[in-house]
Amino acid sequence: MSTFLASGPNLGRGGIGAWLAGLSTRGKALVLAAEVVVMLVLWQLVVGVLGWINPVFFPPPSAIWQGFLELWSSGVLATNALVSLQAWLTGFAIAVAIGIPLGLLMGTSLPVDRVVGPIAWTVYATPTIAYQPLAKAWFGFGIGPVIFLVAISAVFPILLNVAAGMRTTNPSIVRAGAVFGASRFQLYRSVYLPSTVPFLFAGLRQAVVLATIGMVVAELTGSAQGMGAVIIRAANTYQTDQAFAAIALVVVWSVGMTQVVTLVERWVAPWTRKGSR
Amino acid sequence: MTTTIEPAEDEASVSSLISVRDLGVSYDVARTGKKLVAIEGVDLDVREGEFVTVLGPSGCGKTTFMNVIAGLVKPSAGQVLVAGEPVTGPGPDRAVVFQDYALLPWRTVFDNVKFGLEMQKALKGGGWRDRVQEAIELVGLSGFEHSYPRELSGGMQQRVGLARAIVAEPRILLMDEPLGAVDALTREVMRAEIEKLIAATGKTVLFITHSIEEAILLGDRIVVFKSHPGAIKEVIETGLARPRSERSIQSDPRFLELRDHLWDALQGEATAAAVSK
Repeated sequence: MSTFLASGPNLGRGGIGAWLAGLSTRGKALVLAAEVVVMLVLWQLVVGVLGWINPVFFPPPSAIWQGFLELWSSGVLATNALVSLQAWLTGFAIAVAIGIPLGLLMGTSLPVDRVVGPIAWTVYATPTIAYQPLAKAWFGFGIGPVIFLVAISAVFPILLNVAAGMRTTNPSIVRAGAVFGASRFQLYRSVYLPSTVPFLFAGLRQAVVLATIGMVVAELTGSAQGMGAVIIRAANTYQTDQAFAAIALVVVWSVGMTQVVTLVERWVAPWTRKGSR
Repeated sequence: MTTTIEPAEDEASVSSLISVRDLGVSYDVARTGKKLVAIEGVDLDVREGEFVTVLGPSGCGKTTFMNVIAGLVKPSAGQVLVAGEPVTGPGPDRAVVFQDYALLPWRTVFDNVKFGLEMQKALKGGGWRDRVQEAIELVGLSGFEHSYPRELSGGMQQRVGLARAIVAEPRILLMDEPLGAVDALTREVMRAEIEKLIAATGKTVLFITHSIEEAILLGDRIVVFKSHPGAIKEVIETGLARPRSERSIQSDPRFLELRDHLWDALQGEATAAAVSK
């Protein structure tokens, strides 16, 4: 059954889909690792060995590694990564601190939902980069605009998912609570909140990715420090290997944080763990 | 035993645990501005320890009827008395088993069974643990205390729903098509188990179903509902000895007689419902 579901729209029996779906956790990790290795080897081969592409525009993995070492030994990496980290964590914390309570309020009160909802969706639908010039006018040239862009990028997926989670609580469970004479507070605590938890984590995972985009966007334009600044400086001086190294680091951070969110979810909400997939 | 279907004798309301008097429920439909009459003029008396099955086509208002007794829906006319007291809301003397189980997916079997007691604030003292454990054993789920609902089959999930209801020690068990969502084989097994369980605990039961066989197999009396508006069409005493084995009863002339009678009664209803839609 789970194999069938995990194979998704690929309904054919057997084949590579069925094989992948049947893999153990370790097996899946090995497949992923193999995929990465094959990609790196091909990349190295095409750019580095065969020289089909000019390495200045698209450096091979070996050059990127060199670029990473240069950034590391010169201390540029540590300084800028620390600035970015600070902005990211601060902005994300603000997003969580606003998004969760406001989302709960929206999910509970229809009037609040009707007022805040359209505003939230409008701001969420606006490309983050559009706010960048304003952010500078409001918060100056330091870390301020970066924090702002991280926060405004991350807050809406959290807010809107939490509100949706509250509203989609199974009415049948609410009735079961009511039958046993649950008070409003008991229903909130024992039914609505736990039912919202999976939505919260879905929102947090989206927020991690969007926060990182917001951070790099803010740092790319006119920021003196941060990973975005490292990328744009390196690219402008044709040190594409260093630019790629900085990009890779940002990607690792983004993917790593989504994994952290997933781990926390498994710990906080073990009932959401799906079968093998 | 007579060979004709006689309407059941009107019970003296003095000895009845549930008294339903001229009950009506209607809703205002905002879209059309009309009044939708769900049920109308329902009178019924249920004795303590009686097993009453409520049979009717879907949309006949039998679930609304049950919800009023549970205290989840306020009547717009008439009243319901339980042990002589008018019903104004849910109470610990009544518990409900839902068709869709209405379990809390984030709680283990043990914690789901505990849910009712918890909402009733009945977790004082140490005795409740034993009661929860007993209820779990009674429905045959020993060993699954720490499983989550999604790890259980539909039949097992409904056992949890049953345990959750009986652990609160209600006088009245309201069951809303509890076996409607489980497969045919499981339904047969659980039907027999419910009959045994009720016989052992002496609970008063109102059991809603749209299965003619189920209504006959379980009920001391069968209340047949008609639709548009929902109202009682007839009440029939089954007059079958207990315990009733599904296999031996299938050839009992009384069973066949009841089944034919109910078939005719419901067929007229189903046709009328189909035409009026």
